[in-house]
Amino acid sequence: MKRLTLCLFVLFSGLFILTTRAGIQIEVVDPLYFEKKHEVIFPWADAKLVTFEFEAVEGIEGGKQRAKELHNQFLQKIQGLPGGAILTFLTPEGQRIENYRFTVKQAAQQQKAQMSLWGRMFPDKSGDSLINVRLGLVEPPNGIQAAFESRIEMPRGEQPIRGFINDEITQKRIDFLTVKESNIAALADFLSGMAFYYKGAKKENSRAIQLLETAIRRLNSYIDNTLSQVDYSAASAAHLYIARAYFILADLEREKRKAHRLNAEQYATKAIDLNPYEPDPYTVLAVIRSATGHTTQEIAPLLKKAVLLAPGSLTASYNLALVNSGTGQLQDAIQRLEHVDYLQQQEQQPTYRELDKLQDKLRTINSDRQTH
Amino acid sequence: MESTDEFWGFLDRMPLLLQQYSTHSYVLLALLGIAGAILLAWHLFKLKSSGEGLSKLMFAAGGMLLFLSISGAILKISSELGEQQQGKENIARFLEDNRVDSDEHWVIIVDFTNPVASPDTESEVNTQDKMRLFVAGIKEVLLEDIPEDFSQPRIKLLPTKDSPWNKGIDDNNYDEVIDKLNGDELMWGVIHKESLNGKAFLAISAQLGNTAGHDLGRQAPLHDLDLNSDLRREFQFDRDGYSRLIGMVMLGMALETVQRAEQIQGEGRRKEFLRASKQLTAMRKKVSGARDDPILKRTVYSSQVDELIRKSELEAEGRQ
Repeated sequence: MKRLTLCLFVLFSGLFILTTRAGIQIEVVDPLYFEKKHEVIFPWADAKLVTFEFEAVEGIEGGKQRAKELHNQFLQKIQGLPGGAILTFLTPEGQRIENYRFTVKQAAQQQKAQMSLWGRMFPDKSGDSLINVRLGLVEPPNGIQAAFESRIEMPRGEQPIRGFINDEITQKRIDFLTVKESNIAALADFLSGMAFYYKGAKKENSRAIQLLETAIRRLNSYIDNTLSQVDYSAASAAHLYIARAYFILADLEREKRKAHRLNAEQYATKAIDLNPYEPDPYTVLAVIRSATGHTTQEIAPLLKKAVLLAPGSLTASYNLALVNSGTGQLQDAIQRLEHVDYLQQQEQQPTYRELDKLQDKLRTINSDRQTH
Repeated sequence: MESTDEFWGFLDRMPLLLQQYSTHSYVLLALLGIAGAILLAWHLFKLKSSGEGLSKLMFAAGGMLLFLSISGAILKISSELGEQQQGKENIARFLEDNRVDSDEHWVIIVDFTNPVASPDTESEVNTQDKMRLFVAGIKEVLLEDIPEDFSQPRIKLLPTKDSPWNKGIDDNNYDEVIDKLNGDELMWGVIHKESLNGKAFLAISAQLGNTAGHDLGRQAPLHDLDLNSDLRREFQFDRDGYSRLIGMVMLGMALETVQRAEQIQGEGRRKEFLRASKQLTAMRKKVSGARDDPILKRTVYSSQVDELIRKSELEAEGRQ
């Protein structure tokens, strides 16, 4: 009986967590609050957003109020998202958070949040309030990948080169353009779209289709807002996450694969148009095109562009080396992999697990070629 | 006895007279000196020709005029030399006090409210406070929004008191200011004293600009300023002003990294070029929303910077 009660308790607790909206507004009275260690709130959440009251400058007092509004709107929009949560830190009237920017980063890390949000409020010339928001991806969501295979002609027969073109998310901060505070609803759309993507992009998620569809709807809702017409950077990011979501959906819904991939390609192309200086859209488009049977000659220029725009990215260099090896540029591929090695040491990044395998294979092929 | 007293009285007044003469213009001093010399010459001529010179009073007047004008001129010259020397010392002290160290990237902001040495009216104090707030606002924007690939720039407010450029900064002398103060970038502006509205400009030093070639645009008008409003808002909200400010500062910093990398031989060279290429690409990414701005097209998105990125990336990949 006891065991049954315990099981029921666990089951109901789980259901409670899954079905209710998880959000808390924390009033910070102690000025040393952020210097102390605190328990992780909603430790089960894996699409957690930590937000802070907006710093308000002269003539504006609504920073705390707007943060509360955003909190409530986000909370409403993540209804039904398992693992979604929001924590909003506020101070009482007359108080403010010291070392604001540093504190935001520290608190988000301490709370093991996936996203952090902070910003400022300003009065414009007519006295209306403007809001300036920054979104940090403390722990970026999963990107997409496509299997890549090519064959190199050798005297002893063809040698296969296999690997994955990976989309590593390098855009870890989105600076929204300053907007009127009435646009908070559009921001909540963007943020909730991101939260749904975080969850939907997880391979093990059984509700991925539903979550990704919601992510697409929310991000599209942001795009439809006039706000995105002027904010190229954020609009590009919204298009890019939609492209990723469609790409994952294409794998999950085989009957709609063609349509999803077509959508994914269209959104990724638009993301490039909106922000041609961001490397991630080029990689995403390369992944999509690789999966839709484009030739290596068509994919390589996209990956080369990604390398040019993200010279410190191991993944971008690895992707290009992999594809270049498929176009017969063995020397270039070997040199590029050596560069990945160099980047790993310089950036003190964890070992790139595919690197050694591909490096050995290419060196063997190269030496075989030279011998014959 | 009475005449002795008068003589001492006259001697007492002499310094005052000399002081008074030293304030006259050189032309007046020359005229007075000539007049004195003519009187003395006339006296000598009459003495030689008729054995009787001018009256004692005329003779004394001629002698005094000559003496006072020569002494006045000497005093005037020495005082001017002293002032020049003092001016040079003040300028040297000003430059010494305001020269920045070369280890960091410095953006020098010239106080364009042109304040008086000791503000005595409430409005002057108020204006200076606004200028300080403006500098704090610029600093906040830069520290907040410059990507992590960059170190943080240093900001300095340059006073105008004792400044060799207290008549103002313009296209003709901004390079001299940057050069003499060892800065990397300079912001200056012009504001209307009453309305506190004006314009601000930002320029990268010629020394840094040359890294990307002589044709690189180095100067950007920032934004119409209104010192009465919150400048953080001005720079955050006006996309062109904000992008130009942040873009130009990042460009200056990236050029500095390229220059440093070029000077390194051996192991550290590749690493520094990697840093430079990351900075150059991060810079373009950051202000990509304003990529069609004509000023940014001549600077951040110029073909010279394209070439610099290509070169830095080749060096970073160990291919050059």
